[in-house]
Amino acid sequence: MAETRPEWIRADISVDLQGESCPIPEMTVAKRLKNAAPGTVIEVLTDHQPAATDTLPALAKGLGYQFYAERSGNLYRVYIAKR
Amino acid sequence: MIAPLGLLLFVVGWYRFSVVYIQGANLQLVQQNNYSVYVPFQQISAYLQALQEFTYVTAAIALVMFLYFFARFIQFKRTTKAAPSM
Amino acid sequence: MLEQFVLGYGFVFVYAIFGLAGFIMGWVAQRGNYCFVNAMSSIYTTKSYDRFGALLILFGISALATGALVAFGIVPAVDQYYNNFFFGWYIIVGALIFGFGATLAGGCNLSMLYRAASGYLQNWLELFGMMVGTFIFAVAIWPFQSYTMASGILSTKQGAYIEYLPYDIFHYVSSWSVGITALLLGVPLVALGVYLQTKTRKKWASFGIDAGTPGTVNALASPITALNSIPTSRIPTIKPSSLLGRIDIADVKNMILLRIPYSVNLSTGLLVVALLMVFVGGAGYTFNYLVITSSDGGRFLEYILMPFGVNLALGTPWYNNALAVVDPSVLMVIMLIVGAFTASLLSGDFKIRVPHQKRRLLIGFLGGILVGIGVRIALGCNIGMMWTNFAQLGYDGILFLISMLGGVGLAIKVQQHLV
Repeated sequence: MAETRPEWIRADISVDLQGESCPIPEMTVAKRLKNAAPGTVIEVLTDHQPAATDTLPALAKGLGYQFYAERSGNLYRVYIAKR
Repeated sequence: MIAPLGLLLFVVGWYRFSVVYIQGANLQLVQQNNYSVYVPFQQISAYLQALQEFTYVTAAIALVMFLYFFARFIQFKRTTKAAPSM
Repeated sequence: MLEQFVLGYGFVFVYAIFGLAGFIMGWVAQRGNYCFVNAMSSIYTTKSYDRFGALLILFGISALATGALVAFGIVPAVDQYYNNFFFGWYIIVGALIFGFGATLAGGCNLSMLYRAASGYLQNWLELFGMMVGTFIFAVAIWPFQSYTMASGILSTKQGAYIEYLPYDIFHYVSSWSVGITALLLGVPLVALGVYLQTKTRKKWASFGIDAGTPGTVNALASPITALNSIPTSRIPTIKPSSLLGRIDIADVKNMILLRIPYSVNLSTGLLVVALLMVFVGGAGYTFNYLVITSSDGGRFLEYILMPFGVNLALGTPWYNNALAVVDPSVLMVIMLIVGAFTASLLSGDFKIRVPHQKRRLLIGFLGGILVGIGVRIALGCNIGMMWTNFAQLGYDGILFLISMLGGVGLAIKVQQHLV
């Protein structure tokens, strides 16, 4: 059952990290977030489950940014909104 | 769907490899009088016996998984065929 | 004093216990995404101590559990200390190299295996690199290292009870000395682990973000994934102040049905079960702890060469005197791969994954070489040396942990220039 997506979901920057495993996803996204303007929403495509359920949410939580993740098969889309 | 067959091949192949090559290498060590890393016959037999049991169980699980995924595949094909415009 | 067995059912039973423990390890590690390198690298990358705290809890509970079994006379003390390793320069140097290489390659020895079994091509290359690294160690480093060990150059000259903390602290091995040592070692580790987890989750909660939700993960509506839909209300949430959290029947059901990953502390508990299985079952027969790296790094290369008529055990240094042709850890590693593969397949996580940046494959292979060299210098990996040594009530594990953290940190610095 699909949940309604939050209104802030969009992809100002899209990063395809399929095939990569940790620590690459969180390091890549951290770098992109650092260089992004406030209010930017980064969309991350990953097939590495720990990135979607653990490390990217941890990155967002540590920085105090909103995040949302959805799944289609073993492809995950993670959205992080920089404050 | 093919992946469980890969698992089946892996466990059966590993068992055959153990019987032929690991035992063979161990015998070579005896012939060369290298007892540092030689494994006594009782232990290597125990390894093969335990491995055989695990092979049977894993092969059975692999076959069940294959049949399960095959059934899902057939179900998906029928669903797609029934409603091609969706 | 020779080891004594606890369960006298013979070697078939011992091999079976190791095989079953391996299956459990592979399954649980895959479902829980349990990676020692990730736990350490998260400290540097996401400033999260959650998984590192879980590692400390793992080590602490292992020490308490094995110590209790010995203190209450269920397992003889000799079975706990008999295989304690030497201590020397090589533990520190090896762990540093291992931590560095494993971070570059993308996984510790445990995660390398379960990710390879889940289809990660980079980890397959790490595994092959590890075999090559083991060979390089055997011919180029082991002669020198074994000389320093035999001569006591920056090294103790024997392990066993010399490396056994109850003996080192109390100069006597008895039920009470073992029990007190286990408490002295285990309780602070568990306490520190709990503190780090709680601190991290409180920090997350202070931002007004649900601290425990491991991402709000939903299924997009589609004919295939509809069967795997995960209602968000069922994602296990963990309140910052509570480690066990609010676990309801739906969470348990979703974990059993492989819809959601296992929580990190649940995975920790199940891994301790695997350790205790081999600790009790293998006592008196073999190295009764979890060992991965002798098989995947060492023996697998031997095995690969056997069909070509090459037997490394006949003449190659280290292979010819340090590594038995086969032992229970071989079956353990094989079943670990089977367990991880089965878990990934049944949960829908299995997929052949190739990194977009193809240089990652080369980095994985080179990192694997360093992993092979590092673990052999250190006399073991994060499982067989670090985790095991806490259960052995030794002190090598502490030094390995600190060095490995250093190696991981260095590698993160390097990776930051590569991403």
